Amino acid sequence: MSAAQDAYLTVQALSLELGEGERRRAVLQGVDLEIAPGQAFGLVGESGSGKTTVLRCLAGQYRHWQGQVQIAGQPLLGGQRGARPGAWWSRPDLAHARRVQMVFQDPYGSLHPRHTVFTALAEPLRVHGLDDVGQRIDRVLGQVGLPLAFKDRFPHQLSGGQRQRVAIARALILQPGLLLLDEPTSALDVSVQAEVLNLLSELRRQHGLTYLLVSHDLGVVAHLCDRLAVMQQGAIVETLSTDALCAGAAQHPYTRTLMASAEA
Amino acid sequence: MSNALLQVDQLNVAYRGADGTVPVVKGVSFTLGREKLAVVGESGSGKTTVGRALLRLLPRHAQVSAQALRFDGIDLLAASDAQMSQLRGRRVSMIMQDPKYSLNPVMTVGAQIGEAVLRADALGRAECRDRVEQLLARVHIREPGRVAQQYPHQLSGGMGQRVMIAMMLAQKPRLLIADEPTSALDVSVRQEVLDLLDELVAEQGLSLLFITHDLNLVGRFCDRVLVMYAGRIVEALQASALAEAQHPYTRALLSAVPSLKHRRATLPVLQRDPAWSEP
Repeated sequence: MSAAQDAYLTVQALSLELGEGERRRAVLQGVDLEIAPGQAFGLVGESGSGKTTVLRCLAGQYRHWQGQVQIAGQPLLGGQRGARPGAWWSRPDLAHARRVQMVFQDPYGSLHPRHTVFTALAEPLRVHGLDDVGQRIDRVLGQVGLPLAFKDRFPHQLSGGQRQRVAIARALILQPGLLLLDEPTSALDVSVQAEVLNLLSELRRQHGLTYLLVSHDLGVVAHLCDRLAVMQQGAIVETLSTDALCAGAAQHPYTRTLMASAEA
Repeated sequence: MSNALLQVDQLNVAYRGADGTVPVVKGVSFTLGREKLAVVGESGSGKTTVGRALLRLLPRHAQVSAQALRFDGIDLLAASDAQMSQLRGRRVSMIMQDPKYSLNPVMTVGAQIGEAVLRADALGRAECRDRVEQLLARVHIREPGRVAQQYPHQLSGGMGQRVMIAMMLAQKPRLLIADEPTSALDVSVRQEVLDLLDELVAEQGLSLLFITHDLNLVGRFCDRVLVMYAGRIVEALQASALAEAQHPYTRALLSAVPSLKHRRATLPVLQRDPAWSEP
């Protein structure tokens, strides 16, 4: 257990069932993960393998999971508490939100179309009762490389890459230690993807952030992450370092299939 | 070039807006024979507009002009609306990006393919059902009888795209325009759909116009590549020669892709040169 205490994120035997009655399915079947502070970890797999579901459990979007999760030494409570009726309406865990933030796949869907960039970025500050709103927003816009004049723009006045920068700024404004990145570049052109990937590695280096990145693109994962896990049908089939992956040391046949389609 | 199936000469498309007309395709010329031709570019480069202009599928406020636009001896600029609808589906088919949006959500898959079958041949009900099942089997769907009775929301993305291909095959077209047919699919499924397209192109002697943003994909899938930037073709080359591309835009696009083989600390970022949008 000593290694687990050093880790920023520890997930043990995470399981989740969705659906009712006959249609109830085990979506996650005992997922184990361990990410060291400042490390970037990739989760790879096809649609339906459960990789986004892991992020949703960690972000608190699903609460009725079973297993143990520790983030920055603090246990995240799922299981019984989450299974209680009305738990979806319970007060959001503010301390958890200060530690963990998420960036979603589609910057067209994740920003409120009638909120300006300023409003979008000010909302988490208001919820958490933080002051210096203007200063904090200016600082975070600088971090993600957007001009300050963009504060008054609406999402439809921004390109896809700029929107994703706003989404990253919204995640960073509470200064979390862990960012959950759900396919952050798959909706972008390769040229814009390169800019956003560079921004993400730069931010991690500067602020010592820990990343959990979900992607189906092995190239993206290998570029950004130190280690990765391959998921299939709700379970992790292989965990290895990016160096080992690139050296062709993947053992599991499914990982090899993914490698073949990425390299071909 | 008289043996080309499709001839496009100086195609221009502009949209009328509140502040005058906005050109989106500027002087695009190419010919297409029995081959797999890729049109590659970023969002907004005009690649989809080219494909849609060929089938006259653009909105009414689009202004299309060209020196020549010919398909199999037919002048597409002068064709009547009736001639165009004879052409669409029967001789030129189109596959769109996301099967979720191109299939009718309230009709079974079999009924939708049946519509296409009946448009091509006058068949009885039982014959039509057999033909639908043959087509589904042709696109490697394992239980054609069962899948024919399903609704689009019950299918996975890869299955949906196969259904779209089966529908297109019902009418034996000569030219297939595929607009990002695999972008909405998983990597593992993507390869299966590409293999299927490849097989059909070879077997039926189809010409394929493959519209995509994925340069790496076309390098191994297509014969020739046209690279579009800001409404123009900036480079045309053999797919096998993609690695030796000359244009700085093509080179920048190729190098911006994160690769397992050549890992770099930072990815090169595209520096756009205004000269690229000049003729």
